[in-house]
Amino acid sequence: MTRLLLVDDDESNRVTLAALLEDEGYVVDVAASFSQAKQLLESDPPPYDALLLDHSLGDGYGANLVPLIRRNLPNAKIVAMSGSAGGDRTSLEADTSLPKGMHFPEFLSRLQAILR
Amino acid sequence: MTALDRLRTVEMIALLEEATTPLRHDVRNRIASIRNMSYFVRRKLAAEIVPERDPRVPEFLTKVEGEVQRTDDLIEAWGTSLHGLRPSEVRPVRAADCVRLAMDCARLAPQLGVEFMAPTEPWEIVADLEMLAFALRCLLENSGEAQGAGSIGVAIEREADLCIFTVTDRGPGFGNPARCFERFESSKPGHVGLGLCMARRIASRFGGDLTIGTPELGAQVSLLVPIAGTRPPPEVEP
Repeated sequence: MTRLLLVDDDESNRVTLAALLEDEGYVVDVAASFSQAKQLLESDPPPYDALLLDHSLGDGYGANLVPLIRRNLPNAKIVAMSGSAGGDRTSLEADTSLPKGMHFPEFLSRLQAILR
Repeated sequence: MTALDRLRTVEMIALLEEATTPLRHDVRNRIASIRNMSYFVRRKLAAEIVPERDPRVPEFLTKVEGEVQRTDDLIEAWGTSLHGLRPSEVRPVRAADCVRLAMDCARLAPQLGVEFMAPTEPWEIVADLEMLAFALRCLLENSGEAQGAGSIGVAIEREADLCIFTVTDRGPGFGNPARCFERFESSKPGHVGLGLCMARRIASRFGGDLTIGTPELGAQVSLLVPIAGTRPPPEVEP
C-alpha cells in the first residue's frame, strides 16, 4: 500500500486532493503547515513512499523540508506542487514538480510514474 | 542609454511580477481546488445508477470546468506576456560584475558613497546579469536611504557552494525584521514596500535566497546565490 504525505496549507486543496488520492487507493496523511510537517518528519516518520509539497506554506517553505526528508526518508520521492510556472526553490530541489491545477488524471499518471 | 536606463525594463517587469505573482498564485490555488472538486463530483455522478437525474447537473459541471479553464488560460497568458517583454539571459556571470552594474545604476544621494572591494577570486554565478544587478540595486538603495550620507558597504564572500553578496549600512536598522518581506509595507514615504520582496524573488529564481542579518548597528542584508557549477542550472521562465 502506497503511503503519501500531502503538505499544503490551503485547506480546500488539501482536502480535495487527499480525497481523490484516497479514492485511488493511496493512504494519505496530511500536514497543514510547515511546522506540522516538520514535526511529523523529525523523529521516526512513517515510511512514506512520496511527499507532495506545496512551496509556500505560510510558516515556511516546502524547500526547507527537503534536507530533513532526504535524511530521514532517503527512499521517498519528493513531488513539488507548484502554483506558478518556473523554478521556485521547492521545485528545484524535488524529484519532480507537478503544477497545481493540473487535470487530476494527468496528475495521477505523473505521480504513478515517479512511484514506479 | 545611461546605466540607469539599462535596468529600467528589468525594474518594470520585477515590479509587475511582484505585484501580481502572489495574486496569480492564489488564484491558481483556487482554480486547482475547484477543478479537483469538480472532477470528484463528476466521477461520483458517473458512478451513480440513477437513470433520470437532472441533465443540467453534468451540463453545469462542464460549464464550471470551462470557466475554470478560461480563468487559468487568462492567468497563463498574463505570465507569458510579462516574461515575453524581456526574455531572461541566464549564463555564468562574474559576481563582481553584478555589483558594479548595480552600483552604476543605483539612485543614491550624491553625498553617499559605496565601499566595495572586489574579491580576489573571480567567482561566477549562473544568473541574468541585469536581474541580479537590479536585485542588488534594491539593497543598495534601501541602505542608501536608511543611512542618508557617508558610505554603505558591499562585500562578496564565498561560503561552501554559495556566493554571498552583503550590503551593510549604519542607518536605524530594521524596526521589525520579521516584517521585512511583507509586500506593500514601507516605513519610508513614497515607497511601495516591494524592494526586498523583488530582490528575494530574483535570488530565489536563481536558486538562492535573501537573508536579514542582525548587526549591532544599522542593517545588513545578504543575497545568496549558488556558485556556478555547484548545482544544476536554474530553470527560469523564458
